[in-house]
Amino acid sequence: MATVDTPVEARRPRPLRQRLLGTDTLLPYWLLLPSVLYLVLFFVIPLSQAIVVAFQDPDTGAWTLKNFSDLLRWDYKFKPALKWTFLLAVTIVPLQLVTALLVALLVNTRFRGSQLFLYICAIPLGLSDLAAGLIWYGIFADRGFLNSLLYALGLIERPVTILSYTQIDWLFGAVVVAEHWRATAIVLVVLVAGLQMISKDYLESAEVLGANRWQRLWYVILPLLRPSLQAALIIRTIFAFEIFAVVIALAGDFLPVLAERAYTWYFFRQNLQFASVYAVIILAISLIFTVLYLVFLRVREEERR
Amino acid sequence: MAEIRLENVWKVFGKVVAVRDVTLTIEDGEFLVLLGPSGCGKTTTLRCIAGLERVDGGRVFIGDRDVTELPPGKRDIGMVFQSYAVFPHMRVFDNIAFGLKMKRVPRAEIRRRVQNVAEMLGIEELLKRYPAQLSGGQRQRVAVARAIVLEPQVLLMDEPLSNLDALIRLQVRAELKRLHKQIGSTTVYVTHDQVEALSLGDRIAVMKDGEIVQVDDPTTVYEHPADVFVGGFIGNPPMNFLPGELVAPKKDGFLVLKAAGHEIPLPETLSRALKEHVGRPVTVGIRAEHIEVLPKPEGDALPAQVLVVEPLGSHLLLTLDVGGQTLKVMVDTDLQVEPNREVGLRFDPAKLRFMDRETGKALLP
Ligand SMILES: Nc1ncnc2c1ncn2[C@@H]1O[C@H](COP(=O)(O)OP(=O)(O)O)[C@@H](O)[C@H]1O
Ligand SMILES: [Mg+2]
Repeated sequence: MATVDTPVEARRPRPLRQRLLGTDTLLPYWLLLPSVLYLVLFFVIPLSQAIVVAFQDPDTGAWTLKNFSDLLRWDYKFKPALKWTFLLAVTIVPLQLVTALLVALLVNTRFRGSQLFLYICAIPLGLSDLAAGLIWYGIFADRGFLNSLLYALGLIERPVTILSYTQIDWLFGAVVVAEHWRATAIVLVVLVAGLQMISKDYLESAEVLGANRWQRLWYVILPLLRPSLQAALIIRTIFAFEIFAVVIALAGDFLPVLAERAYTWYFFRQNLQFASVYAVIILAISLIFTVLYLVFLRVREEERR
Repeated sequence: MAEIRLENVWKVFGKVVAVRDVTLTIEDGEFLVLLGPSGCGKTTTLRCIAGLERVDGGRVFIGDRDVTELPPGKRDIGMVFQSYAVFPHMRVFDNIAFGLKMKRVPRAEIRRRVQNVAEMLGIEELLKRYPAQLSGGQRQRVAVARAIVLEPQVLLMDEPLSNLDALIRLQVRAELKRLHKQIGSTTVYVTHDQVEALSLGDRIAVMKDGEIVQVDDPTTVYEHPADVFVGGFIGNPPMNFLPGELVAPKKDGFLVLKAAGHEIPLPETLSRALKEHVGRPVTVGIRAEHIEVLPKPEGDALPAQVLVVEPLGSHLLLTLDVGGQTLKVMVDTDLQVEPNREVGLRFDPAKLRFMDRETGKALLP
């Protein structure tokens, strides 16, 4: 570019802020830096290490798929873990989505006290998953709240054993209930925020045009809520495949799941390779689902408000 | 087609009375403009007709039906929102077809009817586009098409031109007028723009603080405002108002108006009509274009001093001082005037509007 006619402005000394931070176009990147550093330090580096370990022969250091085939051969709990993780995910996520949507629609009617109701619903967000698991253990245990309640009501004569390795379906159910209680609020919060962005003019227009409640939900609310649904689904599905502490608290390793296998191989068997293979598998599944959501729930540029 | 009847309609939000005891009949096929300043309750009145607000008192009729308890979808109305509310996730075709789809109209008929209104509004080229790919004017047309494709008995529009550029606004205004002639739906049109109201309405209902203060055809509203508020709200510049007094001289029985330090004799008919108000303090209103300006004070003309001269292109707007009162006067551009000049004013007393000084209400219909 020719610099014959430098504008007066460019010759002035730049303000301190600009000299320190570069031009305004650079500013966003500076602001992103802390979170990028954090992600690199605690996610990207350990993750790449795990990937490297998973695909390397521990003795020779050569690239190989041996760890994967070994795992398939030796870990008889791999297939159950995969099965239960998937079953939990496909049960919990849709259930959470439906619950959160119903509650979000309810909150969005702005009834008296709806804000307070929302805050109460969001309380579990503040609990760690282990704490949530222990709470539900306290409910479902032989001498837990549920049995005490049923006994006090005279519905049972003796404590009923809910959490037992002999009834894996019950363990599954207990995990679903606990996880549903613990992690639905994040979906709820995302959906409530999304609903509040939808101008009521759209709904009233549809109403004047003769759309009933269901038609308004189906043809107006849900399509306009798509970006929020997408965000909520991605967050929830990724976390669903990482399910761990709630399962440990309620079912130990009688209900094997992928993250629990990684933990077991790493801490109890000191097998870094197998633990890394599990980490890579969880990563791959999460990636696949994220891409699927991004493709299928995509909002095209021209459809935006 | 159908008439709309509001009977003693009330709408209250907490402490705010948005609509206060409104009674109004809008005739079959009429184009009625609801005009008033921002916050006076126009939108709320429209929403009461639409059924988007439940009335707190009174009844709403469309045709012979009492629709007070009916939801909007069952009232046989079309509505154009101020924001247009064109669905962003649907193509123009699906936007227009929405109401027909909800009513389970067969697909072939939907296509035919959408095509028809699209042609009527000149948007048949846009049917495949998304709203984000349209200009404001085009989006407004889609909103109108979506409302009229159902051939509603009643068409409600809330400030449909307020989001458009000044140039497009003029064009769309004329189109709306033509469209109304073509489809003939009883139309209620909300605006705060008095020029729009005068140009579009068969009749204008002027609102203030939730009440309707005058319903008349545009000429009457302009020439014979029901009170000081209407005279001041409609017209650019607004009507001139001067404090005055009606007195009866002893001799001929004709009345005299004392205003701005002058005595103006009133003609016979006016004198007779105003007889009972003699001695009462009044506010006199006169339109800027109803005052004739003479280059010199002469004969019976009122002397006045020019304060400001504003050329408006087609006219000159003068600000004058008459006996300590300020007047706005519209004159032809060929008049030679400059500030500080003494001029003479003449006007037809029949063009004067007499209001009660206390209540602001017109003394004569
Ligand atoms: N949903 C509502 N809640 C509370 N107050 C409202 C609501 N809608 C309108 N109002 C109040 O009612 C009055 C009339 O409002 P509106 O009909 O929108 O006026 P306009 O359309 O003439 O500008 C205003 O004072 C407004 O603040
Ligand atoms: Mg309004």
